[in-house]
Amino acid sequence: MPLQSNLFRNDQLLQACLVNDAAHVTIGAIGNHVAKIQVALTDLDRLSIDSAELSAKRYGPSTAAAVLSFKKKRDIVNRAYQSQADNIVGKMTIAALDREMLAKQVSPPIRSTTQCTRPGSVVSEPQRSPRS
Amino acid sequence: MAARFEKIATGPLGDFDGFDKKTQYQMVPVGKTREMSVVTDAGARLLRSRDPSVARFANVKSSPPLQPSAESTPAQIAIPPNRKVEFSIVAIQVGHTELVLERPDGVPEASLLVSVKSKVTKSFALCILADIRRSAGFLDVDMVRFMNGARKTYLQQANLELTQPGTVETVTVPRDLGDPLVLDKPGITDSIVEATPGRVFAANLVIYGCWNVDLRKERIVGLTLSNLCFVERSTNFFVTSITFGHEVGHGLGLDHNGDQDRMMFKDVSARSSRLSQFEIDTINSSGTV
Repeated sequence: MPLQSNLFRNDQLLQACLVNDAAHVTIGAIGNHVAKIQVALTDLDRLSIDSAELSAKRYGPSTAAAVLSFKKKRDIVNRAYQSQADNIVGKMTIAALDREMLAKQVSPPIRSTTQCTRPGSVVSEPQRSPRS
Repeated sequence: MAARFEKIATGPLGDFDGFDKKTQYQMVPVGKTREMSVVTDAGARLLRSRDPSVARFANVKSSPPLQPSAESTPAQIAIPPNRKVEFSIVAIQVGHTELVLERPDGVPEASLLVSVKSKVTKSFALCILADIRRSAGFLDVDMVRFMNGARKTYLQQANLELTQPGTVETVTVPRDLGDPLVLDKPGITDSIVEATPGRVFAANLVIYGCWNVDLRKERIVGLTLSNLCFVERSTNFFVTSITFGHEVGHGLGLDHNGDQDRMMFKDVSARSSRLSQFEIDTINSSGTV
């Protein structure tokens, strides 16, 4: 099943990461897909990532440390060839990030519109008047 | 009662065809027609186009039929007393003319300003907003359907064609924007713009379908910042539809209108898609006086 969360679903590199070992995201990667991983790590576990890495959208040491922390906490380990978590975003990690981001999504309740303005522009003062 | 112009509100356009009753104004796309009538009292009148090279008359109908007269030409119609005469205003070239109802002594009694306009085209892009927590809940087809209402409004009333070069885009902002979406909170609109694909901004207007929108801690249903229009998804189809047209109006340069029977009225008690003469002439200045 493809990635479904708002954050990841339209990202081709991360969709590839979900199904292809060669598309795993590792230290040195740069781009919007890295930025999305950083957003998820920060949002889910409040993990701290270096501001230079965030602004450069770069998978640097602090991002790698955050990935490792995320994986250790959830015991994300591929027992076929490793005994402990690493700092790479592979199939299992991106799936876990997606699953948890999706779980935090909500459907905003639609408000009734009995008293609303269409203010037009923030330079004009919005005014209210009751519906007749 | 004096002789007067009366709008014929028949056909698919009704009188939402560029007619402004308050200012006695009619927009007519060049090469097209608009229907109108004149009602006379006990006196005969002469209906005349001051500039027949801009607009003239055709399809003159009356019951009983008007007798052929040397006075009746494509530029003027001689109307007997106590008669209702229907006619088409035929737009010949871009410009403006006045249709004048004159008494037998030549004194003008009523007039209708006719503005013949060429088609003006503007482009728009439709975006459905999402963030890491939520989506606006609009479907692509919803966005197209709501915008089609606005397109019809501006084409029929102002001869302004709104075109959509691309498809509906989902714009996902990689942060939690909050609910409600407080558009004047620092960084909110910047984040939305940053997350929007650059190709979208090739359009004259960008319309974002949003979830609940607030401004200065007040509830609103739509907001326009320069050429970026934000429209909230509401429970009421008609409100959302009119809000699309209203925000597009701001994006085209229109301000609010104090008349509740106009689309640019400031709150949701306005449920009309009618534009005024000033608004029509603002968004399509061809043919203006």
